[in-house]
Amino acid sequence: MEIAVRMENVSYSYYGRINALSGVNMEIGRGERLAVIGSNGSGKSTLLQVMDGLIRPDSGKLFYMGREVSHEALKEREFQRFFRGGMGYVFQDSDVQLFCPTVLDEMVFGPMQLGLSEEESLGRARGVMAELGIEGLKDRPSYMLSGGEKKRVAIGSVLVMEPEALLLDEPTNGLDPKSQMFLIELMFRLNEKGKTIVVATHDLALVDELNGTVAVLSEEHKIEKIGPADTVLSDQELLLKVNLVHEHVHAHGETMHRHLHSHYQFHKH
Amino acid sequence: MHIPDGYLSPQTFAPMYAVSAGFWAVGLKKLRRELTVRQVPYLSMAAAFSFLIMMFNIPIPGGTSGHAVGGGIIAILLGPWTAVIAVSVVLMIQALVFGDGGITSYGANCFNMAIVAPFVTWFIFRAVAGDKKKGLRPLAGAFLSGWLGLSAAAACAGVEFGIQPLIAHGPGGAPLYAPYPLSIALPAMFLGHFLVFGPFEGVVTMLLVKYFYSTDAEFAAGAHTAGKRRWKLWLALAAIAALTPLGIIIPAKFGGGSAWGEWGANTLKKVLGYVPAGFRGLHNLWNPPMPNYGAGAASSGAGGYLASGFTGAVLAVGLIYLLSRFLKKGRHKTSRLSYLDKGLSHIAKLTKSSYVQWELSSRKGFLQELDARVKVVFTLLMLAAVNIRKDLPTELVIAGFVFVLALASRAGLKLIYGRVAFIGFFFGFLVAMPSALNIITPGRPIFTLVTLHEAHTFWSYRIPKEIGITSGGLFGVAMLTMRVANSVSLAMLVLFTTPFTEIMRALKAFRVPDSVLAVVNLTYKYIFIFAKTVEDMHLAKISRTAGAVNGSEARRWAAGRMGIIFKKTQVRCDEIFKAMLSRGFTGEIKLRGQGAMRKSDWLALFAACAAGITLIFV
Repeated sequence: MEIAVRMENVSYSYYGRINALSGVNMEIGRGERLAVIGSNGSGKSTLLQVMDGLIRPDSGKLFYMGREVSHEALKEREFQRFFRGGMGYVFQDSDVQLFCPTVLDEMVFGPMQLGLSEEESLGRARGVMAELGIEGLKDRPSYMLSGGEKKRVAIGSVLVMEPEALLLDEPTNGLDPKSQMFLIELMFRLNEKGKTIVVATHDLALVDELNGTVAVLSEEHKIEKIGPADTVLSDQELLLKVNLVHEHVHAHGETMHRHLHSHYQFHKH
Repeated sequence: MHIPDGYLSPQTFAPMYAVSAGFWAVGLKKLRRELTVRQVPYLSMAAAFSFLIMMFNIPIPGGTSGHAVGGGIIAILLGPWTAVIAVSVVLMIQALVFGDGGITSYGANCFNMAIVAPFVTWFIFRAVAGDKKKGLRPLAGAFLSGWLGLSAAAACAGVEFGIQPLIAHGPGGAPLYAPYPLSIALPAMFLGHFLVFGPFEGVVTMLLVKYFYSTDAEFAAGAHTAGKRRWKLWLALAAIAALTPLGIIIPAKFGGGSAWGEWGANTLKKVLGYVPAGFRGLHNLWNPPMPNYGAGAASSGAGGYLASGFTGAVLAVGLIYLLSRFLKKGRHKTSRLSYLDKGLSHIAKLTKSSYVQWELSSRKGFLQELDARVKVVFTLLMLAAVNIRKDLPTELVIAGFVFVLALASRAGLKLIYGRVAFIGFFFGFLVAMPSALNIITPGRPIFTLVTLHEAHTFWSYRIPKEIGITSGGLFGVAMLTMRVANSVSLAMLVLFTTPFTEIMRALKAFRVPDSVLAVVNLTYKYIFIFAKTVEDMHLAKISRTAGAVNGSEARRWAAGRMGIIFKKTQVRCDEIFKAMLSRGFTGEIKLRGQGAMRKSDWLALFAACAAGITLIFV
């Protein structure tokens, strides 16, 4: 499989003090579905932002499609188009991502920055809005959208750039079940078209649903394990170690019963 | 029915004060507990209404006249205790400012008109109408209760008059105060009110009950009606005030004369042949600033009366407002918190008004259909005309033009002109007002305010002997006020008919750089988002605090919030920058332009240019 993203020994700390990533090595194949899981503060968002070249790692290297994404390279116009157009990032907080006057402006922002003409950008925007069912919101300012609508618009604003790889930070956070289902189906649809999907989450149900590769970040900000979803999710000990499940204590008649408990499936007793 | 000073003996007016004071205390307490902010306008309206309705004198041909009180309808709609306070406030204004009703007899007047009338009305109305909101019963109840309520008040006044000769007479048996015995006073007061003024009060009460019950059955239950209705009510009150001169024109025509028991010293002397001793001591106790509602001076009869009507109504509204402010203040012990709450509610209003702006501008209407670029050109041309031309007719033409456009676009007239009036008054009228005086604008005064002994000169100012308003100064004030009002209404018109984003995009056509537009857009958007954040934080705080918070704690909280918001802004800036980067931002922003102009847009552009050029140069 062709490698889309490769990270070599990447470390990052906030303000040079608070560690967020330490010595991360990973490879993401083209067309792969990868879930990055870990507890709060384990460095999932940081990992995604480094991957998107938004923050510069303290040490280590990042490669996209075999080309190094360095600080210098990111200053070149040609590389910018190649990298920004190839990698799409959906922020956890849609309010951050929606910075244009109206939904339609939001849609054409990316393509226009990439140097596409206005007509071409509008054409792409129409296609994506139809796909996501948001044509009706065209002239709305973004602050007059519901949470679910905002998320769709945010994803749409990335999809119009026709990226090769899509990075989603906690995409299902705060969405109702219907919007969550829509999102999951969308991710599968995009993946079938050959797009690489990377999702950062601590929602184990989503990981289960996605059923791809899983990278587990430990609380020490290291990659604890990379493997297929079913093996990782059944490794209760690992999940307990990275604080994604907790020990559940409750009474069964006279005796106290103790077992590991995660919240992604029905709780069976 | 306003008993003047000198008619009641101290043995009567002192106990009457005591009785009324009891009712006031209970009324204020009830009001403090039950009055909500939204009821304050209604309470003020009720007081203004009562004041005005008392100015409509109805003549009984052959010597006397009287009027309705309006206390009954207030009792029916807002409760008897509210009526007690509202009518008492009105009576106080009448006594102090207009000399209608005495100072010593204020307690007795309140007892008759502010206590007996409302309570009798209320009880009768409840008894007849019950809980019915429709059909004949509320109407019949309203008429009957208004009629009998006023009659009962008159009977009380009659008794108060009539007992004076009994309890207060001089050594020779001559009455010291009101001279007529019960056998004359009671029928005189009661019959006039029972036969003429009472039915009038009944009709007024019935019509108002019909209006309120039919338009909003919930009103009587204390439900709040929309601001639109309130607006209409204020207009109705203004119309009533404008009609007040009828209140003296009609009695004069029918030879109504003054009301029974409200004669001055001269009339008494003419009728009785003497002036009672006690009366002589009391009747000149108070010199009101506008005696007899300004109708005394023959020169300014109806005009003075009209001015008094408006003055009194405004005073009633103002006093009620102050009173309710005072009551509210007593309720929460923390006045500073309310200041904080006010700030927060301003922020909440900001979020709301941008919703309103968005909603209005996406309505169907004349201006909404036009291209934003045309509207920007139009506004700029008009603003130029407004501020270049130096004559009032042009300003008036533009004002009319803007009004017609606002009407054709259904652009929220109240919103636009509310702001125009406010800004026009403060930044036009008040600012320019001093320049109307001949101290600042030299010239002959057409209206003299103060006359000094001699002219003064100091530094570069010359203070003339006669200080007054000059015609040139007046023109200047009118010009500035009109210019400000026109400029504001033009800006509001465009703002309320064009989505903010479209205005921004239109500026692109005028070669404003994309990056500037992007920054303005972002600012607009994040003001909105942060306003929401502040609101949410405030609600979160309310949900976690029980009971009252004192001022210093509240201020500390507010300061903390500001810090958090500042921090959030910083973090967000960072994030947004990243979001822009990830979508290909490289330092220069490219924004989408506007579509092509349609035929109708070109036509409108041409018309706007033609109108603008005509207004500027012709």
